[in-house]
Amino acid sequence: MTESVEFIALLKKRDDSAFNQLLELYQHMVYNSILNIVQHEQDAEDLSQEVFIRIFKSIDSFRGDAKLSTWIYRITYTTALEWERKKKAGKAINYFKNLIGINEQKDSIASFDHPGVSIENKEMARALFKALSQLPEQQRIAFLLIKSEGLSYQQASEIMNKSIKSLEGLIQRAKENLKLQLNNFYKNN
Amino acid sequence: MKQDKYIDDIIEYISTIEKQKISPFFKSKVLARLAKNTSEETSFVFKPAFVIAFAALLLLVNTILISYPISNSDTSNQNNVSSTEQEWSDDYSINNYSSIYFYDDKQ
Repeated sequence: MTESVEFIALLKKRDDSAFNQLLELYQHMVYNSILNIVQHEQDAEDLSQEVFIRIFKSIDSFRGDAKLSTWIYRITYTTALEWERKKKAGKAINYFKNLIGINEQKDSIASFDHPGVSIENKEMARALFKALSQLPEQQRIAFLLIKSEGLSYQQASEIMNKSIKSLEGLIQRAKENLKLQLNNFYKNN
Repeated sequence: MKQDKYIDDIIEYISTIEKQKISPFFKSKVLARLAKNTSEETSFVFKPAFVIAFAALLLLVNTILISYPISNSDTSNQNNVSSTEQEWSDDYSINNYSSIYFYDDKQ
């Protein structure tokens, strides 16, 4: 239904009920995808709002070459990664401020407890999310789309605009990098 | 071997994490933000950049309008004054410096 030409036409007309339906259908997907990247519940919710504002504003640029869900995934990951880059830039500035002693704010590295993780697995999930946050962007997105979102390689390759072969390469390298990171966790436990 | 298995399990664990439901107020928050954005777009006249630019333009126009007539009128006034003095001294055949000189010379 949401992929139909009529539905998209209604969205382009800024039809309230169509937009409500879109929100209803994609809000959890957008939120969970962002939560895996930003690893903070409130930030994830704020950014999810931002994603839907962007969808609403730029729906006219949706040409229908890809599925609507593919387009929404792209906006979702772009928004999350932009936020992350800004945050990293802010951290770098804070680091230099600390070096020259003009920053009183200490940069703390908070570990993330995903709300969907059971208590007995919290430690393991924490290590996994920390390792994930250190992966290069493309590897991380590929890994999350396949492993967390449970999408097929075909769907993920469309979202990332890559061939299935290069996507497989990304997943392979992501796993290798995660193993390297998690080796330390294993040794310490 | 045991280590590899344990790490593989951690990596695969992500697919078992329960998906979260977003706050029940999420939809209304998005709709409120959209409504706010739309109203902001219509009242662009009140955006700070527009207001500052308009004020600067107004100041510039006022400065030009005020400064030009004053400088012109100043020059014309000065001309009027000096021409009046000249006329008066011509009328009474007074040349201040020469009069004093001749007077002194006679003394």
